[in-house]
Amino acid sequence: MPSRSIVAQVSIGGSLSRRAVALAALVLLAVIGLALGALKVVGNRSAPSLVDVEKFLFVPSRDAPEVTVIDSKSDRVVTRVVVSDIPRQILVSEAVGAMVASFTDRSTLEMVDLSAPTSSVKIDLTIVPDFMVLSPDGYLVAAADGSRGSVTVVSLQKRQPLLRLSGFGDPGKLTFSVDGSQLYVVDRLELAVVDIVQQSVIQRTALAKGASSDRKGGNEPRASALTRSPDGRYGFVSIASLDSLVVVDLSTFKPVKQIPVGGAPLRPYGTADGRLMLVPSDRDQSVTVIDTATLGVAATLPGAGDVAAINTGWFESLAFVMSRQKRVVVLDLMKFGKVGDIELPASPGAGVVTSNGQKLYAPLADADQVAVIDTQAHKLATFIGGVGRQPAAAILARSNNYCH
Amino acid sequence: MRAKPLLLGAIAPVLVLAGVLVAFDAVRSPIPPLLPVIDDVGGDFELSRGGGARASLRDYRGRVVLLFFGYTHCPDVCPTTLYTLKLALDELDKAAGQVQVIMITVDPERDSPEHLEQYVRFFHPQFVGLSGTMKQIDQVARQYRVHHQRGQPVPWGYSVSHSGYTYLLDKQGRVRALFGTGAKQTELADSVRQLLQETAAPG
Repeated sequence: MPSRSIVAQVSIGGSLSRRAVALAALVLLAVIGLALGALKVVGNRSAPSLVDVEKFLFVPSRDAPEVTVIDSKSDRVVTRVVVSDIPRQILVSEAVGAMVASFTDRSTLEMVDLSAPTSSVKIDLTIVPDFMVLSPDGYLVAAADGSRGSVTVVSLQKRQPLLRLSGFGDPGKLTFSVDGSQLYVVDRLELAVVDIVQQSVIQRTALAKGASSDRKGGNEPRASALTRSPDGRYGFVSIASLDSLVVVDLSTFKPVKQIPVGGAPLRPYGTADGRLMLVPSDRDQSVTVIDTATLGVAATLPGAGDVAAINTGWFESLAFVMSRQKRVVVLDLMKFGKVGDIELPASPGAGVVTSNGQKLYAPLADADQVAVIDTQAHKLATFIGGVGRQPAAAILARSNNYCH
Repeated sequence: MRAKPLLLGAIAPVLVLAGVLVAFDAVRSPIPPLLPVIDDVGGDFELSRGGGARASLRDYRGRVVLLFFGYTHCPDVCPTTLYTLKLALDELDKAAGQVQVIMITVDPERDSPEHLEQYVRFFHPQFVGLSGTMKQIDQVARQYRVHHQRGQPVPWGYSVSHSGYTYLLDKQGRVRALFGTGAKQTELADSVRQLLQETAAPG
């Protein structure tokens, strides 16, 4: 048994100094290892820099003052950014490297520096934003307050409001122009065009007949937000009460066409390549596909009820109709047909597709998870847990991958 | 007197093992994602390059290829992407010799092979620009699912709306990764390194 005796010699025999040196070396190794591990743990607990903003998915909670940050490459939670209250909405600007949060009943925005996520500044608005939108270049935020009939535009570089306009009936639906110089406000059944430099409404256009009287009469507004074609040429507004989509020429701000679509249409969603506009209908559970080149109906496809949003991916060849009825209907936008139905364990919120078009993230508030859908296979790839309580949205700083 | 060394002798290996495990975990994560073959996108092509030469994807077998579709009159995405690709090659240093960057025009009417070659070499002498007839370009665009469409008139003629993916192709010419506009050079270089290290073809 020579080997056993060697072990015995090493562990028990030998001089005290040799044993001490060996033990010291072992303990030193252990300490180095533990120190490395401890560094990792500490590193995870402190807020890491999120300076490569485009890498991360931001998931605000509907139930806690925090936003979970996920690495979109590994689909791992990397940190949680704590904000001062439960966020109503968040936006992420790659241009200024910041996350902007709005809150219910608060007239301030909180702007978190993503290079040092523990530091933030408050921006006073004097309005309580119901809804915010980021300009295409990421330097401006427009916010609307429905109860005050006001719109504010904030400079994220200057960290202060640039303008505030009031006198709107229901200014909840905001869209920036391609160059960010104008703001399109769908105000009941009118389109109001705000010039940011002139700080005024430069045009008001009735989107459909009877729009003006509707506004004066204070009827329920039934127009959606304007969805702009990526090249900025046209704007598309769904008018639920007319079962129609109105096309506005954004060079003249005049409606140029009214297209019949499914009953009670929701807001239109455009493909990132600008080829198609998709209009979901709750009443018909259909999706009307508009060819933006001809402004005609290319197809009417099966949709779903209670649509939260439509996302497109995999080279804009597939549409994912996110239904709050715990399912995703997958549509082929090349052959114009339904190609899949994905069951979910909970109702999805508005999702987002990565800039390479390969992954769709959908927040599942009731399951405290984010679903990851492989767009090419149009199948559930995985669920990301540990995303905080009731994830409300999934936001990427950059998801459009087209040059227009 | 012997109890103390014996106790230390028993504890130390446990500590070492724990330390090594924790340290290993600290070093290894995050795990680099695999780059599976993306089927139903890509394929061979043969187009024109400057000086009347023809070039096909087959010519670059054995090299990792970064492929991009754009046009020389593009004001933003194309020059930015080409510059990022140049930075990726810089980051790869000597390994850049095993990588080929190819830009295929989506505007062959204005981008002659000579003009395109001159344009891409402004960014890096190793870059190759390929042009062809509209029919040839349409065919390659279909293979790579590239959307391209002539846009509205602009002061310098017309714009071309197009998708801005960068395709990472392995040494066998298969698409292994897609990058959106704004991908960073480090991300590109890291993925290229993964492919360069491959010895066996993945399934």
